[in-house]
Amino acid sequence: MDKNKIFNIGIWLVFTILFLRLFQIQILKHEYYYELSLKNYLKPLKLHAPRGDIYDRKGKLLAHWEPVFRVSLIPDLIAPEGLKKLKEILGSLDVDPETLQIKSNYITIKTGIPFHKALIIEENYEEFPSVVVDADPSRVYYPQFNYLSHIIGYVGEASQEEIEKFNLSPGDIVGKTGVEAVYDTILRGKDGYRFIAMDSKGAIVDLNPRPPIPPVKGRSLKLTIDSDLTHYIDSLFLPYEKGACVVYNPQTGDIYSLYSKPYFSSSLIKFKWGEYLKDPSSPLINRTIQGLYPPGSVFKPISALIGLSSGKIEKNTVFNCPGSYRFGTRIWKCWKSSGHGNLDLIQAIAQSCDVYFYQLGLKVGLEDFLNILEDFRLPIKTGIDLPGEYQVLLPNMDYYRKKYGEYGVTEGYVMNLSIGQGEVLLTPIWIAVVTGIIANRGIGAIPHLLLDHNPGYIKWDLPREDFEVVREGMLQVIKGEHGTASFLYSPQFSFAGKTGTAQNPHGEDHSLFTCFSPYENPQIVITVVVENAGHGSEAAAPIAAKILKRWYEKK
Amino acid sequence: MRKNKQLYLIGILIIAIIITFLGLLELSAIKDIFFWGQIQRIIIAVVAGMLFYLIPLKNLKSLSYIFHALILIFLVVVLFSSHEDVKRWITIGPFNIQPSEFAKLSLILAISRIYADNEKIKNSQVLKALLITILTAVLVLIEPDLATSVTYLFIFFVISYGMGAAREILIPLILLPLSALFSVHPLLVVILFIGTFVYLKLQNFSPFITLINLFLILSVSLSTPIIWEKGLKDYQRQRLTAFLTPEKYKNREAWQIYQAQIALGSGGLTGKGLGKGTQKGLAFLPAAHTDFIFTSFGEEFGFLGTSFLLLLYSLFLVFILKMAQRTGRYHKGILLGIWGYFFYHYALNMAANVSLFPVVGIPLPFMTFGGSHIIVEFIMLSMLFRILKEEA
Repeated sequence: MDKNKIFNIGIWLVFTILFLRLFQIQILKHEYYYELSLKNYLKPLKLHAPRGDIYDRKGKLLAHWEPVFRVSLIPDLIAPEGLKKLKEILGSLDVDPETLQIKSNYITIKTGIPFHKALIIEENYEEFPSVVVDADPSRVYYPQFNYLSHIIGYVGEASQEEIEKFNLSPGDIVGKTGVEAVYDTILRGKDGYRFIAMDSKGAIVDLNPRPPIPPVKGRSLKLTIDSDLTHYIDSLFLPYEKGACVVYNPQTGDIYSLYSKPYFSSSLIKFKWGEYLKDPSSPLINRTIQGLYPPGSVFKPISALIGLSSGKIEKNTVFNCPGSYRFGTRIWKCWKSSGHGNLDLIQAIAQSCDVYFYQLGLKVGLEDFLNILEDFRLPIKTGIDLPGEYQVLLPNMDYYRKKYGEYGVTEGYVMNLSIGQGEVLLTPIWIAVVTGIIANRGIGAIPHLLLDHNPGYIKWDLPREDFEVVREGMLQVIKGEHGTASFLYSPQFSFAGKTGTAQNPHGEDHSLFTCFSPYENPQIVITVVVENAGHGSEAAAPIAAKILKRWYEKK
Repeated sequence: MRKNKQLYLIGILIIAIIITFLGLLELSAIKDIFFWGQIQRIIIAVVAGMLFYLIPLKNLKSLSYIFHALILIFLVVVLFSSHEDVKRWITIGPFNIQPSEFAKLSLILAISRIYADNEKIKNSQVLKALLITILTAVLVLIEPDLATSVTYLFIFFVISYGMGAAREILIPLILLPLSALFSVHPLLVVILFIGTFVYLKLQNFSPFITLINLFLILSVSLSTPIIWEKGLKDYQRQRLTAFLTPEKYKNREAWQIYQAQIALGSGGLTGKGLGKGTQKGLAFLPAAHTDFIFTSFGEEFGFLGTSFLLLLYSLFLVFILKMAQRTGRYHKGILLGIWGYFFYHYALNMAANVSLFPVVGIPLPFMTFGGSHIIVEFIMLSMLFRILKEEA
């Protein structure tokens, strides 16, 4: 072959290869590389988005945001006179740029600047080259709503764990607990960015190379909570140190009030965290969902349902109560030492007769009692939209065998269990939901805090007549001549409930009361626990009655 | 014929001027100091070219050996004069001179002289030329400057092949780098082995020659991986392979190549405009004025600019080939050598810029900032004029 031809082929071969390669890099992959080149020299500075507001069901603002101004500058770019003037406006600085080694980068010299000072700097921006005032959104909670802190929760800087879990950056604000945490993704907006151009050594070459992307505020939440009602409940708890109260609509699941005393302050949590932790009354604990109480007589409606389900007890099964019951070598007392005489099931609930329920338990037998309870398939958590709800303790046979050994389990345990003492531990929210289910004859909405949102229902599949028996018993608690809370009877509204006294080995008994109203079409459940306040009828029941009264007045 | 050649020469000159101008334009966009520095160097180069133009080729021919011998002495001096790790420059007054660049020119002249007298090249002449080439290459390899020492071999090969050297000598010279390159995969070695065998059989080479060549393929392709593993340090290997996947490596070379790709790619069709390249402007692209001037140009002038430049270099090479037709043997040798020089430099530099080849520090003719190569290139240009003048 002609040698010249070979050389020419060489030329055009190389030309073709290089041409195609250039086409690939500069045309086909242009956008990819263009993006990379932008990333190379544009450094995004985050502009945090404000969180959405939180309102109560009536539109009352519970949590808001306000801007906190922050001044940043590049020390190299500002003249000494400018810096002096800046210091006059701002007072003492968090970081004095003159003390820095590297003066070519952006640094924040002061945070928490009031609006009017930020305005002065912005208006005179020509005197302060490179100075930027950023507005960081800061969460604002109102101290007058401190009794809602357990529900609202609070925000804080994202932890390493949260950064990885939610794909955040250090310094991002995230909901730590309460609604702030549960609905964090709704409340959290979309962060924006401001850009600066930097060279490969990190020196800033352009302060505004591309228009900023403004942050987008998060969506606001409307809660089912009635803050006025909760405020009223707070006032009812004034005489007591510790307690909890749930007000809930079993048909819609709306929680009107979720009150736990003592409470903390969302706005002060940053400063008082340590204090709250050390406080023996545990204000950080949300007693409505984290307080596990022995239910006492409040459990009796469930025992009654177990008895009815076993087939061994009927509506008109009568037992005699002489004031105590002898089982084996031990005498088991009724709370009323003079005795209740002959009682049927309804009256046993109404008068909360312990001796009746001892006999009910013994007749069913421990193993059957526990198996039926298990067959009810009651949830161990209500599924409320708050973090940290505790599981309730509903024992089963395995539990007893593990705790007392194969041969240590005696029939005596069923007596304790049937009056709600011993191995049962319930949260107030759970008691409220189960009250609601009984009130509505086997169905209750899952409680929730987000308004106009229906997370579903909890069902309890039992014959309607069984529920009616228990409902009638609970009605007689109020309406009956000998009902344990008959002193609360009011002709204005019908309501049914159950008192309870939870034995507390550490001190005074806890006072419990749960009720629903109106009797025929129950739309409200109120569960009250007052710690160390004695009998259910003494502290908890009057509170519930007052809440109910107000509810009817404001309706 | 002469009239045509005149046209080709004018074409060559115009292209050289355009490329030089574009080079200056880009250097001015990178930094003023490079622009003015390059202006000075170009003035010196033009003066040197003019002086060379005055020397009759007859005299140049007789001086060829002495000229190259002188350069070889310089190459030795370089090795002893510098205490730095890389010994490439001699300082004379205000100038840093790189003798290895001038050796490219003197080697062309020397080889052309060897081949000048006989119409048919004897093997002894080829071996003589090869010996001189290897001597030059070894001196430069010690500096160390692998890429430049390979330039000499390439120039030798182009002249020898173009002038009609026996294939028995040239074939092993091609097989040597091919075997080393193909050793990356056993299958490639097998293909090369069988292909060579079939070719040599079809061309009726003697069994002895065939055997030697096959032995060469085997020994080189088997020893290369061993040298690669044992003879080279980790960073050296990375340096050579970084261009394949630059985004994976974190060392300086790979970063440079990666940034070069970003620079070129971000230029797009029309480029960002003169002086507006962010990659080189913000110093993400180091060596923008030397190894990566083409990339820097590509960022600002886009695909239109780069493919235009590519076309200019290709036409430049085509025109030189045209001039090498029907001319005296000495002239032809020189023209082929010049062609080899430009082909090698432009192809390797651009290949490195588009990450098809490792960055080996080969300057882009007429564009890369630097004195020695610009002077050599302008002298070569002037020699084209002298050759055409003497053909009249």
